[in-house]
Amino acid sequence: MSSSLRRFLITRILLTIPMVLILVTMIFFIMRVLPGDPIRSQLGPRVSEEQADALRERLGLNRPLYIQYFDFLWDMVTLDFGTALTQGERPIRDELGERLPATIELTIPAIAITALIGILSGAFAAKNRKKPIDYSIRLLSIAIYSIPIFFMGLIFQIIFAVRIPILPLSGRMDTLLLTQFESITNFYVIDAILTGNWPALRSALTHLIMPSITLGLALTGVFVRLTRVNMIEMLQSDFITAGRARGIPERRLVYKHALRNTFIPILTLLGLQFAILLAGAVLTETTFSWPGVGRYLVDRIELRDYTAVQATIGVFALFVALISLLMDIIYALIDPRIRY
Amino acid sequence: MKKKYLLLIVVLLLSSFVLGACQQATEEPVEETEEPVVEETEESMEPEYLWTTNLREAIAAAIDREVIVDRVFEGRNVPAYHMVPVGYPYATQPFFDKYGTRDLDMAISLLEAEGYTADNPFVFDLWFPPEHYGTTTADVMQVIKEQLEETGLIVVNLNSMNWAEYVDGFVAGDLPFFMLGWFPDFADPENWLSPFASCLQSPDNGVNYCNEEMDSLLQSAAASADPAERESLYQQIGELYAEEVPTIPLFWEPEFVSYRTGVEGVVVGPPFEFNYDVLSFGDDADPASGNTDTIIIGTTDEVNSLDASDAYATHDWEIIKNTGAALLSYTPGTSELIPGAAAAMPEVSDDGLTYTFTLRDNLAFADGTPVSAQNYVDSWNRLNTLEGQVSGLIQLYVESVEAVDDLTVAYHLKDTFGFFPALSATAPFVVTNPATFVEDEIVQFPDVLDGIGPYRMVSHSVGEQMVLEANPEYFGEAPLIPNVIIRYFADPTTMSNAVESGEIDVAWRTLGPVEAVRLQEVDGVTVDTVDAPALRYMVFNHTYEVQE
Repeated sequence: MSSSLRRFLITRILLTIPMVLILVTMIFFIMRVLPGDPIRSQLGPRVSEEQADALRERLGLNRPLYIQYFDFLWDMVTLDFGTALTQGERPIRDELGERLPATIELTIPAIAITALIGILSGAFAAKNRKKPIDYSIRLLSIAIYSIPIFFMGLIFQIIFAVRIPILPLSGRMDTLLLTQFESITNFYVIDAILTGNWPALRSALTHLIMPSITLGLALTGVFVRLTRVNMIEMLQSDFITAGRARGIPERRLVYKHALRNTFIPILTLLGLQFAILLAGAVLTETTFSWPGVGRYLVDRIELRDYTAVQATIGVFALFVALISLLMDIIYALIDPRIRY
Repeated sequence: MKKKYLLLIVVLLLSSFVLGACQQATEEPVEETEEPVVEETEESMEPEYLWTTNLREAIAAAIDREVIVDRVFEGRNVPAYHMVPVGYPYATQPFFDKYGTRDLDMAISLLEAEGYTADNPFVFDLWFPPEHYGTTTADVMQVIKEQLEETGLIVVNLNSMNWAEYVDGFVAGDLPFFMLGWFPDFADPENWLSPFASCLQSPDNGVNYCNEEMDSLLQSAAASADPAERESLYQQIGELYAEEVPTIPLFWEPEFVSYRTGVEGVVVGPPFEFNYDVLSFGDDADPASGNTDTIIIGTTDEVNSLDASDAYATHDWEIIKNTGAALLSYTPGTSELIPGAAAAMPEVSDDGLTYTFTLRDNLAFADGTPVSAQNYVDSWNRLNTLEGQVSGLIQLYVESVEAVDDLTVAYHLKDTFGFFPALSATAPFVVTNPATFVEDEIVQFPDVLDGIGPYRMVSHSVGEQMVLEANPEYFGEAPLIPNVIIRYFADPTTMSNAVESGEIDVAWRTLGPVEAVRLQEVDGVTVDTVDAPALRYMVFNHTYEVQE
């Protein structure tokens, strides 16, 4: 690692701190400005005002705002996150520990599917520009992009789980297998491999197929179009023409030389999309009863669960910062012209 | 080129923010500007309340429940002519007796008596939460608006806001007329009437109603343990309720339970209890688990707390009661009270203040620890000192609990409450195992539940599934199916697909009407309608002042 890259990395990591701080501070105050509070949202009128006050006292919601704020910051720094205010007041670290792996396990294959299908068909369309196949791919990508994600999920469920039952309908693992399953990291695929539990691995993988394809397909449209446009530009550039003149096979020119050079904008988008995917996973998670963090966040916003929402968004922010950092490093690796 | 795309993304994100903000803005309440003026005059003169008896009666007379149920629910819901549901003890139909299905002429003459004319109509705001009670709420409110405006003397402004804001709004007394739902804590008319019509409890529900006659009748009815006397008192209360109209009952919302062919014993009766131990597989069953030892039940509910001293949600109570046994219980499918953990029905002291239960002599927790009367005293002390969510409900009635001897436990009440047996059949009267539920802390998510009920909980993966096994120490008959797995779904549509595809055996709460109707057409799946005691009703805020 060159010293300039190291300096860049340190600066980037240090910059992440104010970024996350600003975000969680905003969330902290916005949540409290919103009307409604966690006690009434969950219990409605079923508790008297005195009892609601007693609950607020127990949950520490009646302390001065600045004390709550500094407590919260300290909790974030120590990665403790405190306990949730609704639905059972569990430690948020436990809740995220269970749910974040589920979401990541879903988003990684989804982004792989997005990238694979999106980039390859985009490149293919560019190569066959203005031919029927080009139009078909473009049309299909727009069509898929326009279908609401939950609707696509439901259609898949009805076809592949109800009418032709070849795939499991919902959840992360077969119900009976799960009763015996020993989960260490909450990444079920990894846990199954670690414990050598092959039926569980098989079940976890088959349960991943429909949700990850649903989530992945939904975003392919953007990649198809981005890749296609960049590829067309690239295929007209001088070095490709030179390559053609030297008799390099067209397939190699397209998929190796041209495609590689369009990776910068694609990677940028991939990084950005990963953040969107995390949030977009909520619909997929609901449709497939996937116990992930997207669904959790939406539920908790409804319930005004301040601590849970703050912590989840804080973790999201860290995650996104990490991904964009990773992207910057990859830029430098794939494009020698980029120097930090 | 890539800049263009990045710009596009930024623009998209920004526009979604703006859209979101706009949506939020449209949901904001429109009013709240005039209050300071009212407050200034409050001290100098007696406040003038908006809702006179005539106006409340006029609105009660103008609403046609049959039309609401037909138009919005295609006849699935049941019109409610009283706060107490039909099929429960002492239920009557006073609103039907007084107003029939509807009495538009009565409504018009009452409004005219209040001085309203077509040129000077009675204008007021009607509030509702758009999602909390399902998306049909808006349709119901629209029908009510039309029915009220048919008098020609009323103009209704419909307003909605999201649930969190809404609750704050009505608890603070900002909403004049609004819609709510009610699900009982225990199966006695007391629990459908006092929360809305007693001076003490009605402010909690935003009703703010107080009437001496009603209060004394409610107290007498609650205090009496004599069925004949209670019947007569609840008859009188019903009549007074329809005249005074503290609230207007609208309809009962049914629940649906769907199960695959061969699943037997799915009975959810009036007290709305689902007993897993009477479920069984018939000869033609094709269990989702592949064997008849295990049944899989789906739900869209979530676990909030499994601590009987804290839990206050329907699904939590269902789990607590299947893994535990309250002092009294119900014959499955009926509202008939029978002994549960107690060996017999309680003895009542002459002054009606003490209920003494004799425990079964073979009670033991699933881990083998025997249960004595002292465990009940300890459970009460936990509930009383830890101030969990449900504590308020029990503290309202119970003063103290005493272990008379090893097998005898006495509940000393704050007043005479004739309905105490029904209360003692609820989840807070399930004894907690001290090995799990430690003295000084609420344990909402225990690893195991070793109670005294037909099942014990052996594992629980939050949001995914819960595993129950037959409790070897259970005092009653062993469950017909030894293993129960509860699968947690995020979405009713997915759950209905799961029962159709055979991934689960039973789809329970909350299967919406859309899914229920669809499943009725599916071969191999049965759908039952369960008369749930879930009431939807309109609330008058009786202390809402006339706004200038």
